[in-house]
Amino acid sequence: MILLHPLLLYSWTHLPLPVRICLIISVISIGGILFALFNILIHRYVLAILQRKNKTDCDEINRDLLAAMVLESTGPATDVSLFEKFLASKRTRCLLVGEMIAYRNYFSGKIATRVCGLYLALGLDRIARQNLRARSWATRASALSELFRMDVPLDNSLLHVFLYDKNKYIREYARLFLIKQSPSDPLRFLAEENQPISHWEETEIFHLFEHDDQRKAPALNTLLSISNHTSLISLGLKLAAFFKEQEDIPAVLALVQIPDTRLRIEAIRTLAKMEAHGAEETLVKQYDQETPEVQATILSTLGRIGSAGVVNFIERQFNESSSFEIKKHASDAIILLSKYSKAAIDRLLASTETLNRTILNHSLNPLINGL
Amino acid sequence: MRHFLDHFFDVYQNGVFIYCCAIYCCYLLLTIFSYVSILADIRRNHLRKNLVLIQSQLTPGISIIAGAFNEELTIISNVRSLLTMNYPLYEVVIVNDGSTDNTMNSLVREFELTEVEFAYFPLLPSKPVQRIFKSENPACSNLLVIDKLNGGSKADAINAGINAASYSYFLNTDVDCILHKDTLVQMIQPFLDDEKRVIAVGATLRMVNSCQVESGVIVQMKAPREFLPAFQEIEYTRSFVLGKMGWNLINAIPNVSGGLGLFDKEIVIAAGGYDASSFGEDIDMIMRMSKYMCEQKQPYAIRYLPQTLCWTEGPSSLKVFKNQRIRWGRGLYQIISSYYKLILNPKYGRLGLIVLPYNFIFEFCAPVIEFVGILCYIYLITLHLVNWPYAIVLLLFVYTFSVCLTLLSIVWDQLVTRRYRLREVMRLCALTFIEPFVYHPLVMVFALWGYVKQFLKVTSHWGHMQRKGFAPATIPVPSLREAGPSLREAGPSLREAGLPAGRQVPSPIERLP
Repeated sequence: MILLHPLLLYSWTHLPLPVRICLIISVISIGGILFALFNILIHRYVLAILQRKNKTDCDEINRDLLAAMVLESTGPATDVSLFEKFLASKRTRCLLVGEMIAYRNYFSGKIATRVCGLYLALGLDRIARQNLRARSWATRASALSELFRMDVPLDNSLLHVFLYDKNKYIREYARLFLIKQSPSDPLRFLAEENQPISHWEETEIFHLFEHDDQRKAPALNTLLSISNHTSLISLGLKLAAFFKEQEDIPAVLALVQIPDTRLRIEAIRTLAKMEAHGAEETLVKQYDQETPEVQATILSTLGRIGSAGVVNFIERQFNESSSFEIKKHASDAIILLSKYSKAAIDRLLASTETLNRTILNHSLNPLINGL
Repeated sequence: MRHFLDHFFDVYQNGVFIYCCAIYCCYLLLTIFSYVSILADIRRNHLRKNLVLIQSQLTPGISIIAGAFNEELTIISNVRSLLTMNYPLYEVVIVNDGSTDNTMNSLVREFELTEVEFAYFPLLPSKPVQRIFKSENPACSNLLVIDKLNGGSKADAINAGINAASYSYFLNTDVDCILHKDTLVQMIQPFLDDEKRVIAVGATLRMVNSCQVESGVIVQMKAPREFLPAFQEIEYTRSFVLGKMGWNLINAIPNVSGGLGLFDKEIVIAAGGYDASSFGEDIDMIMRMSKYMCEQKQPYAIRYLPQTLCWTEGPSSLKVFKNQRIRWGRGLYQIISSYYKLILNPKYGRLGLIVLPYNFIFEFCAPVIEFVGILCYIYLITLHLVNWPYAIVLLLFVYTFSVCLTLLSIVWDQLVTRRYRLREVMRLCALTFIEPFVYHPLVMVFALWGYVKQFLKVTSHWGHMQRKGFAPATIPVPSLREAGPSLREAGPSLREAGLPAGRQVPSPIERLP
């Protein structure tokens, strides 16, 4: 400070510009330091109080939900008044909704229905619906997510507005809602829109079909069209593999010619999962024109769907190919076809080539392949 | 001569002032960017439910690859911890990099390993693989152990692991690192969520030094008590929460830490894998992957998560710390000398216009400018040419600004994780006030030391950090007989939920505090 003293002798305007800049920034920085320290202290203090309160309320909510939803699940309708006290403040209401969503995720059947019924009876959906009109995208997306997870239906016209929202999360939830609410042809609008979807959205859509036993296999022809965006075709292929509907096989088989290598591989893999026995000949014919990556996939697929007729073809690829990956896939395919390829396996094991033997033993080892 | 020196000092002082202002402007921007990035991550986490991924058949498989060299003290508990990740489809690939202690024997005994004839193809270069093991214990059926000759670097071990990995994504970690059980489910999300092709994802690392660890799992998180690890903790917070998260917003992340990174295997292989001769194999890998994507004209993204998902033992002795920082210094020197042609080359997009120029000007040159500055200062002091009031104002500016930024990084970190007690956080805050005087000079000197060593091409090895080890494991892995049916047989739901056999999916009641 003593050293700084001469500074005081000058007026501010006489100080060189760099010194003035430094002084201003130093003062701002000291302010920043104080802000940071107080922020940590206050933030932690407030949070500690909040956590204590939340813990008590959460325990109570959970106890009441457990009693009303699980222990008395076969009893009469839930006494709504038991939960009305949690609607008094926004904090407890959020805790209640959070817990209900958790119950909805963990339980299915009657308990899940009761939880959704309670949600509606308490009028919690009204608050979420109001939030759909909020200016902040985070609030709108959060409200959509809440309504979606609690199985609350929304008006299709409103959802169509959300389909063109600037925010991707809102668009995603709108699409999920529309799929969920259209039991007859849930994926048609996706093909009509032809907008790309992310892998996450693909997973969420797949999850809808995967975990709803009541849902019938959707018509996938519209999605499995070459004119669609690749992400939509990819979703269609995954759903086709999941539902294994024989009528989808021709559409999948048509995609085996698609120029996009990744999609072509996916289509070939889908044929394997759908156990499309009729695809054997097409795949064998196409083999020679393909890239090594696709060839490897074709071999794996033949291993899963093939018959005795393809054993010689696979064995030839195993012996003649110089690519390690192709040999490995051919070997796996031969082992998968062991019902028809016992002689081929013995013949190959007796061969003198060390690499071939190693690859075959690798495929045969249950510790590696989990067979 | 005197006139020349006076002129030089004038120019240097002004130059350093402008440099300092420029670097602080960058830091300020990063602080703002990181705040926006963290808020976006918090919102994303609120909307995305991990359960969807855990239950889905579409969740991509991940290979966890961890190199091990003389890690007998911690290997068992850490591998066990890796085997209990909350993820439906993954394998653990441990690469024993020619350990000379009991690491391999411990693994064989503890996990009932048996040698298998494995079709191993050296797609990426590494020292020869001698043996490959699989576990006979169904509870560890996703464990693969590679025993190879010592390659002298982590890169060599990871390349061997990639060659044997089954899945399209791999997590690069160290066997001494402790991962959060949700690491995989969190880190895969940017790969699924981004509009661009994500090639790598990183997350925050922390010091495990003072944490209580049991069977490879952290039971109580504590900020490091020793000075050196505590300073590193502050440095990591600043680097990950402020730096990496800031760069995340503009998709210009320069590096995904070697301690924890999830990578797209296809791109890593296409870029030629890890360079065993590099001292900074992690940053080199990111540079090569980015360069490859730019050359292929494919849009790409590298993402970072603010959540702490990995804990690593930081060097607590000055000698080990020195070696680590010298290695990092050499690594940075290698990067700059290998990729200088990309600097300001618009063909390489953000890599050429932001990442490399920033790394060169503000990361590589900073220790040199600082060191020359100190020498100048000493020279001017001896000649009584220092205007002390002004000098102190300048020092105050540098000091207060750096302390302010570090404290803000702790505040930002508190938005995401509040694992330490308030007392521990305040202790870290207090240490930030002495960090510029105690810790920072060490970092600067060791970085310069590294540059000099690299410039003179002094041969040295990667070195090995002597681990202190954690508390001994108390929960044994079930033996083959005890394990009974495999997890797969016990029901897919348990396996999908990443839970051991015999335990039910936690009910909401269990989940609550």
